[in-house]
Order: sequence, then structure tokens, then C-alpha cells
Amino acid sequence: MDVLSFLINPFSYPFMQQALLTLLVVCLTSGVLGVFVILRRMAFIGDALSHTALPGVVAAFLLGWNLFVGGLVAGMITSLLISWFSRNRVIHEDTAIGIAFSGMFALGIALMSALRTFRDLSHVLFGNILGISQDQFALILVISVLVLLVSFLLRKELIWTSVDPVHAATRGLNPDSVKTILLLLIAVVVTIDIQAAGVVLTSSLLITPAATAKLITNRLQQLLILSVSFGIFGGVLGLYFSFYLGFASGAAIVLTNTLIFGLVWVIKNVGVFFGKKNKAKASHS
Amino acid sequence: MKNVARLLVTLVILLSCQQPTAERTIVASTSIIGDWVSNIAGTDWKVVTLVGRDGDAHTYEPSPADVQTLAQASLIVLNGAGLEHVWLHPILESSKTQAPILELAEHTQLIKSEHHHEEEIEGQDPYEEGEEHEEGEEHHHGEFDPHVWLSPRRVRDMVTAIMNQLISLDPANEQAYRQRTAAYHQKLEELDREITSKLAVIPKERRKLVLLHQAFGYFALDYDFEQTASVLRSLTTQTRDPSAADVARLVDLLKKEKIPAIFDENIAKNPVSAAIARDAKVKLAPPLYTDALGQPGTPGETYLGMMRHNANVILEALRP
Repeated sequence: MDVLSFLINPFSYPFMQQALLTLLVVCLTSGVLGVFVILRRMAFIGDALSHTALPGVVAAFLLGWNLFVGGLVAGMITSLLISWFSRNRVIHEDTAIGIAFSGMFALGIALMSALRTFRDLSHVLFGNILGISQDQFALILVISVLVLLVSFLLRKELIWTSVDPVHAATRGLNPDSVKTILLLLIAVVVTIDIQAAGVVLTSSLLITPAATAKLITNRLQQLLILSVSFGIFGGVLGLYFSFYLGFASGAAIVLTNTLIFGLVWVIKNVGVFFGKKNKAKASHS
Repeated sequence: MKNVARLLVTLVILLSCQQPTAERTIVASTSIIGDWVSNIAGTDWKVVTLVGRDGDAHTYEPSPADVQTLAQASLIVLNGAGLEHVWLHPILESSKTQAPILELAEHTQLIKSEHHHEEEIEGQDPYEEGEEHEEGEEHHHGEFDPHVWLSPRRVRDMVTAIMNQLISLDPANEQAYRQRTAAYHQKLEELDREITSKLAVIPKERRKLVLLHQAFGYFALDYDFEQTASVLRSLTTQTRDPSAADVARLVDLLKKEKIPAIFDENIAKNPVSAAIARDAKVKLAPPLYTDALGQPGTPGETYLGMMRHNANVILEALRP
């Protein structure tokens, strides 16, 4: 088999085309949001918000609603709770996240015990990008476009409050409102990501590509482009691994992203080790 | 000291008072077994099932109340052949139940899991899950296909086994048990004839079944079908989701074998089934009742109803 057909063959199946298309949309949105998450050192939030989607998903399952909507509602409630708890700075954001995260996840587990079987929810836990229906994809697409639109309209607010909160405050921006909006956006994106990687692995889609980008550049525009590119590259490569090596698709995608991060880190550090100029530069950042 | 003794006496009295109030209870592991037991035992016994309607006996999560139920049971009826072993064995131990345990699979002829090996998808071992479990069990997980109940022909002997067990526990009512068993045997025979004649219109090349898991082995053997593959490639639903490679292989197989439809199941769903059906351009048939009865008011309310419904669904999906 030549290289070209090796690369093309998997995508002769419509289910693989659907998975690829979904991945492109998911990685685009997560890549963009991920950069703001990284810049604000809120990496924990992606993990927290994906876990807090669980009670919503389980409740929706019990009531026969759309699982996606259930997860979305739970995620948004959590993000509002987090920003409300940490509003007056008595409780720090990370503390608020910790409380909301474990509380909501416990609620999810408690609801699950009413079901007495985890089988139907395993694709919520581990993701199932191979079973995305056209309706689901349409929903993901619409939500992604909305998320990107809101991020674009609020780009100045998001960037200033992320990069330089003091400057943002002098400009009359309320960092709390911006933070609440960002949290809501992350909640939405995480619910989309769950379709691809599941509750347990989702935060990787949000954070890892952005972190890889951060290894290479500090300029925002490049960060955004690289983050999205790494996400898509890792996602597609992961799909190949799942196709040719038989790995579960969610895990394959997340592992590939992690490998890429590791590889870039090694290359960068080897470069730093050999080049004294870069070394001096790196110790500053 | 006297007070402690009094307290103890009171406790003993209280505890012993509970005994007579407990009814004579038969615990059945699944709703299907519960239905058979109720049919034979009549109204003198209370029948409790562990895995409920539409529940999945492969992945059941028992509750503390189940341990209590087992502890108070007069008889425990289970399927065996590895179906409930993983979750039932620990709670049987911890309940310290004294009740006799009737394993229905011991009273019928089982198919070895290896039987299917030629039919499986290349390179995949549908029994890999089972083989990881401990060796040395009589009917340990993975050695036999546990889904005996899905062929009415094999249910006859299992119902007889339930009858014999009830007679030995309650000889006074032997006559009643024998009558009810004879009546149920007759219904099973009618069901058997009905399924055979109903499905006779499906030609040989279309008598191919693909479900979520390999549940229809006995049905396929007894009613002349072939269980070509399954979405999870496994005798149990307790297994990993299919990878992209698995899905692609299954899509190819469905096309190559010209399989007319794949079937959902009432006990578990997987979105991948729909994707496979879409890609292979085959029908996704409505759910078959596999490892549990349906809710009251549905066609799967009873065992006889569920098997009639299954035959209808198979007929609709596979007839030319």
C-alpha cells in the first residue's frame, strides 16, 4: 500500500469523514478558547467543567432528554457558581473550582447509582467521536460558530483581561464580567469536546494544543494559529492511530496531543541546551 | 451487666420477631428468570428480581438492599454460565445467605464460546473479556455463552428445574407446581412453533443477525440463523467501545455478507450502531429484547411477549 492510499483509505468511510469533520470544528473552537485558558492559568477549569457536565448528562439520560443539553446546562450552572463564589475574592477561584467540581461530580455519581449500570453512559465518560450523528454534528457546528463569534466580538476584553488585568481595569473593564463570560464559553466548548473525548479526557483537547503553542511563541496571534493547528494535527493523527492500531478514538487523540507536546518540549529544551542565546531568553520567560 | 443482658435479650427478641413477618421470597437474578419463577411458583411466593426490566445483567451495580434481599431469600435462582458472576458472587458471599441456589444454565445444554470462533470478525476475539477472569470456576466467565434464555426450546428444561426445586422446598403443593409447569411448557411449545413458522419466509441468505453484543447464539442455532457479528464483538456488554478499526471492519463485513439489518437492544445502546448502519447502508432495526424484559405495558412485559415481539422485529427487518 502506498503512502497516499494509506492516508486516504480511512476516510473513504463516511463515519470517518464525519469524525474528521467533527474533530476539525471541535479543535478549532477548543484551540481558540484554550489559549485564553492557558494565559489565565485556568487549566484546571477545563477539567472541572467537563467533570461537572456529568450530573447534567446523567439527569438528562434519566429524564430522556438530549444528553448534550443536560451537560450544557450543568456546565453553565457550575461556571456561574464558580464566578459567583469567587466574586469578592474571599474564596479564591481555584478553591471555588475545587468545591464546585467535586460537588457536581459527586452528584453525577449519585445520580448514576440510580441507573445501576454504567454501560449506556460509557461514551459520555470516554467519548465516542465515531458515533456522531448528523444532528449532533449540526448542533456542534452551530454552537461552535456562536462561541467563536462571541470570542471574536469580545476579543479585546478577553485579551486585555487575560494579558494585563491592571491595564484592563484602568480601561474600565470589569474583569469579573469578562471572566464570567469566558467561563460560560468554556462550559459550552467543554460540552462539545465531551462528544469527542469524553468527560475524563476532555480537558486535554482544550489545554494541551494551547500549551504546545505556548512553548513556541508568546505572541497572541501566533498562539491562536498554532494552538488550533496542533489541535487539528493531533486529532487527525489520533484518528489514524485509532484506525490502524485499533485504539479507542478518544484516548488515541488525547495521547497524540500529549506526545506532540512532549516532542515540542524536548526539541525546545534541546535547542535551549545547545544554543546559549536561546538559553538566556528562555530563563526570562 | 444485667442491663446489658436485658438489652441483648430485647435485641434477640426484636430480631427474631422480624423472621416470621418475612414472606417466603424467591430471588431471581434477572427479570426474565423472575417471570418464569412467578409462572411456576404462583402467588404463594414473593418473587424479587435483582436486575430490573430493561436492565443489563452484564454490567449491573448491586446495591446494599440487594445484599439484604439475598440474605432473606428462601431460594435464589440465577442464570449462571458466567452471566451474573462478576457482580453476584461478592454479594452472595457477603449476604451469608443460607438459601439454596439454583443455576438454570446447569440444566440445559450450553454452547461453548469457542463455537463462534469461525464466525467472528478476523483478528478479533469476541471472548477476550471473559478469558481474563479467574480460572477454575465451574462455568466461569467466557467458557460458555450464557444467553440460553433467548431460545424458547431451551427454556423448557430450565422451567422444569425451577419446578423440581420448588417441589423439594414445598412438597405439599407439588400438584400445583406440576400443573403450572405443564401449562407453561405448553405455552413455550406454542411460542416455539409460532417463531419457526413466522420466520420461515426469510430466505437462507438473509437469515443473518447482527446485534450490539453476541446475545443470539442459541436463538441462531435453534432457529437456523447465523450470528454473523456484533457491534461490540463480545458475548458481554462489559467491554470497550469499538475503535475506528473495528467499526471499519464491521462496515466492510456487513457489505460483503449483504446483511439486511442490524438490531438495537433494549438493555444497552451505543451510538456507533447507528453510524455503522448508516455507513453500510443497512437498516437499523428497532431494539430486540435481549437480556431483560421490557417495562409493563410494552410487548416485552413477559417472556412470551418479548420473544413474540423479537420474532416480529426480526421478520420485519430481514424479510425480502
